[in-house]
Amino acid sequence: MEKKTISCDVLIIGGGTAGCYAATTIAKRPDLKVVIAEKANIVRSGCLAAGVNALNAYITPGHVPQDYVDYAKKDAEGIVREDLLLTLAGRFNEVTHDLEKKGLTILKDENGNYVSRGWRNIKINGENIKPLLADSVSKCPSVEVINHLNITDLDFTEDASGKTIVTGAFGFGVRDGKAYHIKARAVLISTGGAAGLYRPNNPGNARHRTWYPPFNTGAGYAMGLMAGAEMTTFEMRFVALRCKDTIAPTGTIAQGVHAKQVNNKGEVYETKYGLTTSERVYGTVEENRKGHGPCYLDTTKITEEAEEDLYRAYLNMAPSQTLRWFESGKGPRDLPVEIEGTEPYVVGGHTASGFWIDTARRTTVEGLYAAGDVAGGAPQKYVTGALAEGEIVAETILRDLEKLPPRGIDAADRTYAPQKEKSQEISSPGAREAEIFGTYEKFLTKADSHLTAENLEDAMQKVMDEYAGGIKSDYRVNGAKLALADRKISDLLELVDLLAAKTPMDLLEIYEVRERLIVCRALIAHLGARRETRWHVFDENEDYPGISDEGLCYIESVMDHDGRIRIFRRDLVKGGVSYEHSN
Amino acid sequence: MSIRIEKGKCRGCGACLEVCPGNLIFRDGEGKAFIPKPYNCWACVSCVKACPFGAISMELEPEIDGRGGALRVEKTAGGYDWKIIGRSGEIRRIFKMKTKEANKY
Ligand SMILES: Cc1cc2nc3c(=O)[nH]c(=O)nc-3n(C[C@H](O)[C@H](O)[C@H](O)COP(=O)(O)OP(=O)(O)OC[C@H]3O[C@@H](n4cnc5c(N)ncnc54)[C@H](O)[C@@H]3O)c2cc1C
Ligand code: SF4
Ligand code: SF4
Repeated sequence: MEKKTISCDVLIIGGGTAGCYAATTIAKRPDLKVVIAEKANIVRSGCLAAGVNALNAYITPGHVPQDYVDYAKKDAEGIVREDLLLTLAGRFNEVTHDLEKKGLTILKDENGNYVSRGWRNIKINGENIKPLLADSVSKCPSVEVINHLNITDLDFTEDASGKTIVTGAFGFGVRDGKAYHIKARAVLISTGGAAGLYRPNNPGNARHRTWYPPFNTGAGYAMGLMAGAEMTTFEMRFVALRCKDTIAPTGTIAQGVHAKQVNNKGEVYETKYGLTTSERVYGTVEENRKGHGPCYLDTTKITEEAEEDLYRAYLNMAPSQTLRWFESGKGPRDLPVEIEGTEPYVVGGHTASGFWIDTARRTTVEGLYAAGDVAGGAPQKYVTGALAEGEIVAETILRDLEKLPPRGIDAADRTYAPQKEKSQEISSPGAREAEIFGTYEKFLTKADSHLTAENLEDAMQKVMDEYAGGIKSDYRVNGAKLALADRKISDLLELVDLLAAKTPMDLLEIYEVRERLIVCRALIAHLGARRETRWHVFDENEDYPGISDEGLCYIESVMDHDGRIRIFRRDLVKGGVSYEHSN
Repeated sequence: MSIRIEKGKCRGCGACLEVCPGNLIFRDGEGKAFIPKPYNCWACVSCVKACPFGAISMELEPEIDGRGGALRVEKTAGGYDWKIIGRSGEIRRIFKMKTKEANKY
C-alpha cells in the first residue's frame, strides 16, 4: 500500500452535518489548517443524503430553550444531560437562520413567519440541505476535504503520567487504496451513530432499506472505545416508528395530516400507551403482540389535496414511499399507511447514547472531541442540534489550541506547527502506524478466506436480533439472553482476523463489521447493567419490568487495554450547572 | 434491485460514483457505471439525481411492493422533475418540484 502522511491543526473525522458545520466554524481562523476525512463524499454523505423535510428542533415564538430541555428530559425519563441540551437549544434558531442564509428553503406564512409543526419543529424543503452544507465547506480555503477516506483507528500517545493523548488518525482510501496517517493537534469525531447492528426489517435485496444510513457503522464509537474513551447510555437504543417496509418517516403523516395510530379494528391506541417517543413504538409492538395488528396511521379521511402534498413531501426525503403508493395502486386515501418499529440503532442525535463529553464537547481522552449523533447525553438533537454542537465543539477546539504552543513535527507530540499550505507530506512512521498499516496489509495479502465480512455481519445481526432485543424478540432482553449474546459476539469478533480482502472495498467491509461488533459488545454490557425498564422498547428488560429509583443515573462504559468492557455509574448532572471532566 | 443503471444511456461521467454515500458504484471494463452489490443500496437516490443523462432509475424490491415500475429524476432550472414510470415504461405521473418551495407537511 502506498503511504500518505498529512499534518494539520484539526482533523474532522466524518464530513456529515456536525463535521461540516464545525469545519466552517474553525475556518473563521484561516491560519488553522483543517482536514475533513470523509468515507464517502461530503456532498451527499450521512443522514442527510436523501434530504429531510423538517427541522425537528427549533424554538418557536412564545417558548424558550429551557422548554426544549424540559421536553427532552421528560421524553427520556430523566436520563439526559441538561447542560448539553441547554447549550444546544440556545443555538437552534441561530443555526437555522444561518442555514436559510446558505440557501435552505423554509416554509413561511403570509406574514413571513416560519410555519411550525407543533411548537418545536419547522417545515423546510430539505432536499438539498447536504449539498448546501458541502458548498459552504468548499468556500473555505483552509479546509481540505479528503473524500473516500475511511478512518479506522485513532493515533495516540501517552504522556509522562500515562495519560492517553490523541494525536491524529489512520485510514485508507476506499478508491485510491492508499494508507493515510493524518496528524493533528485536535481530532473531532463526527461519524454519526450506528446502524446495521441488528437484523433489519427487510430481508435479502431490500436489507439496506433501513431508517438510519447503513453506512454509518458506529466507527466513531469503536475508535473511541479502543482509545479508552468513556461512553454513556448506549442502552437507550433508538427504535423508530416508520412506514412499514419503506421505513419512511411517519411524522409527516402523524403531525402533517394529523393521522392517528389505529389497530386492525380501527381503534385509536396511541393514547393508551403514552406519548413519549418510546411509548409510541411500544403501543404498536403491544397491539401486535395482542393480536390487534397490523397497525396503521389512518390516512383514509384526508383530502385529495393533502394526498397530493404527501406524495410531494416524501419525494424530498424518502422517495420510496411515494413510488410505493403508485406501485401498489393504492394511495393514502385508499388505504391507511401500515407502520412498524425499525431494528434498534445506537444514535446520540435521537437518544442519549454516545461519547461522554463535558459541556464544551471534550471527550474523556485528551485531544479528542465529539459532536452530532456520535456524542451522548443530549437526545432529540436532530439536524439543528448537530449543527449547534458542531459550532460549540469548534469554539472549544479554537480555545484549546490557543493553549498549545505550536512546536516541531514529531509523531509523539500533538503540538504540530500550524500549516498554512495544503497538506504537507512528512515521513515519520511510528510504532502505531506500523501496527495499523500492517493490519491493512495483512487483510489485503491474505489468500482467500472461506469467510466473508457479509457472513460475519449476518451472524452478528442474528445474535443481536435473537439475544439482544431485536425485532424478533419484540425488543426484549433478559440477563440470560444477554450473557449468550456477549459470548457469541466476542467469538465473532475473533473471527474478523480470518477475513481477507482483495480490494479496498473488501477492506472497508471488514472494518465496518469490526466496528459494529465492538459497538455490540459495549451495547450488550450497557443493556445488562441497567436493571430496570426505564424506556419501553429502547431497553425493555424482562427480568426488571418496572422503573427503579436506582436507575436515576448514567450507565457508563470504558474498554480496558485487554478489550474488556468495564461498566460503572455516574450521578446525574444537575440542571443549571456546567460539567467539566475531573480525574 | 434498488437502482438500475441503463448502460446504453451511461456516458461514464463518474458523477454517480463520486456521490454515493455508500461508495457502491464502480466502473465496468467499458468505463460505464455499475453497481456490483445492489442489495447494499440505501435508496437515497443521490446517484439518480446526480446523473446528467438520466441513466439511473430507482425501483422497489418485490418485498416492498415493487411491481416493475420505477422512479426517474430530471434536473430542471429550479429543482427536479420526478417521474413515476409504469411497468411498460409509460410515464404515470410527473411531479414538478422546486427547491424554493417548501412542503406543506
Ligand atoms: C433518514 C433520516 C431522516 C431524518 N430526518 C430528520 C428531519 O426531518 N429533521 C431533523 O431535524 N432531523 C432528522 N434526522 C436526524 C438528523 O439528520 C441527524 O441527527 C443529523 O444529521 C446527524 O448528524 P451527524 O453529523 O451526527 O451525522 P451524519 O450527518 O450522518 O454524518 C456522519 C458522517 O461521518 C461519515 N463517516 C462515518 N464513518 C466514517 C469513517 N470511519 N471515516 C470517515 N467518515 C466516516 C459518514 O459518511 C457521514 O458523512 C434524520 C435522520 C435520518 C437518518
Ligand atoms: S440510491 Fe443512494 S445508496 Fe443507492 S446506489 Fe444510489 S447513491 Fe448509492
Ligand atoms: S452519472 Fe450517469 S452517465 Fe455518469 S457515470 Fe453515472 S450513470 Fe453514467
